[in-house]
Amino acid sequence: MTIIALEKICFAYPGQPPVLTGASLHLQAGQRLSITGPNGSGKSTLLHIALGLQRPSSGAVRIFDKDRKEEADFHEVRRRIGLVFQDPDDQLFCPTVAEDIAFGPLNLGKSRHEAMAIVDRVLGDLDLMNLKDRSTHKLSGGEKRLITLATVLAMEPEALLLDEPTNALDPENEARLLEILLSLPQAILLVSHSTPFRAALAPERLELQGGRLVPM
Amino acid sequence: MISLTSPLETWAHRVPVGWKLAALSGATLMLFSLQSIILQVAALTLALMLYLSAGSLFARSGLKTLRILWPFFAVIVVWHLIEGTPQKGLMIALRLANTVALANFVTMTSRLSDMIDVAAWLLTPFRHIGLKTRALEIAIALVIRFTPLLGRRGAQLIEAWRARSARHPSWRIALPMTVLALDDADHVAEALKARGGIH
Repeated sequence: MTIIALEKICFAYPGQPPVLTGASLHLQAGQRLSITGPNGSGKSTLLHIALGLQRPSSGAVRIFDKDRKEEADFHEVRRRIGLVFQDPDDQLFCPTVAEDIAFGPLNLGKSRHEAMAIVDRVLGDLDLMNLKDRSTHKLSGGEKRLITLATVLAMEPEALLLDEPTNALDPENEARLLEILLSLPQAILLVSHSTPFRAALAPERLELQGGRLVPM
Repeated sequence: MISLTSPLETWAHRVPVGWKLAALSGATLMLFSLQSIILQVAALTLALMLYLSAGSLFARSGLKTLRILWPFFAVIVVWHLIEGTPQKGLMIALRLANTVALANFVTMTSRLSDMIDVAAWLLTPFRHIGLKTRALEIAIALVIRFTPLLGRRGAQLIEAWRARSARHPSWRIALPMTVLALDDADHVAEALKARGGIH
């Protein structure tokens, strides 16, 4: 099954030259794919377009074999695909770890009891139970990154979009994150400047060159 | 809501949040009706004893957060000295110290999810007439989450200023601070949408 199909996507921020000028990609179930390219080349924008957080000026967004154009079309997409943001501080918007992880399940209609059971399961799976009642703003950079992944995994997504997940991680935390990601069955679309991390997690690579994706 | 949560579990954590909020409301009403400085000082002593009853570490942590009130005390006292009403100034400052100290105690000893549950219960009548209250409940969590982050952003800007200037940071950091806050708000809105938004 094709999870994400982006066809000839064009996009420009207001008053700026276009960053995407016909970018296309396909992500299949279980596939792990990485995107590389210079800073500002539109890698993060592409991930945001896949989730409907940005709208392309032209091109087609087809997710789970359905065309997605309007805001309402993306509600299902955001339930089934998890995006891990570049800056964890952008992603953790609840005061405590447990509340942040529970946000997604509660939004999916789970009861508070069910949501807290999911929190326990995800934190247990990631061996992060010691962080459950911590304030999100007091976590270290590495802890924040692992918790952002937990917040997304709590929604049991079918694919993960990872935007520079190793930013500001020390080698130990990077290795731990890699071990966790390698154990996941989900399809992964990875944006990362780290060559060893890409090689280990998603060696299949597309590069953004002049606003288009080129297989490498 | 100056502080987030206590660094340690206390007896007050086991008291239902609804009771604590009701007691806080009652105490606040009473403090505003008291017109005696002596009674306000007595109330402040009781508030201090409340903090100490939860242990010295808790008391230190809680009282440390109340330091943020000093500039407000200074403005109130100076203003009333100029006005020639120092007793009134002292009364207002004591009332402020009492109410904020008690509110901070409740915040420190309550889980946010329990506070939101109480808010959701209080908003039940609005839901009965078809209004969505989830946004308001999330807004409470966002304010508590991002207040320390905004403080950190401000501190980072001041550090960046000091790194390149021997002069004291001025009002000129207000504009970049505002831009950063708006930028953060934008990012958080995207993160909320990415995890299903608010329904």
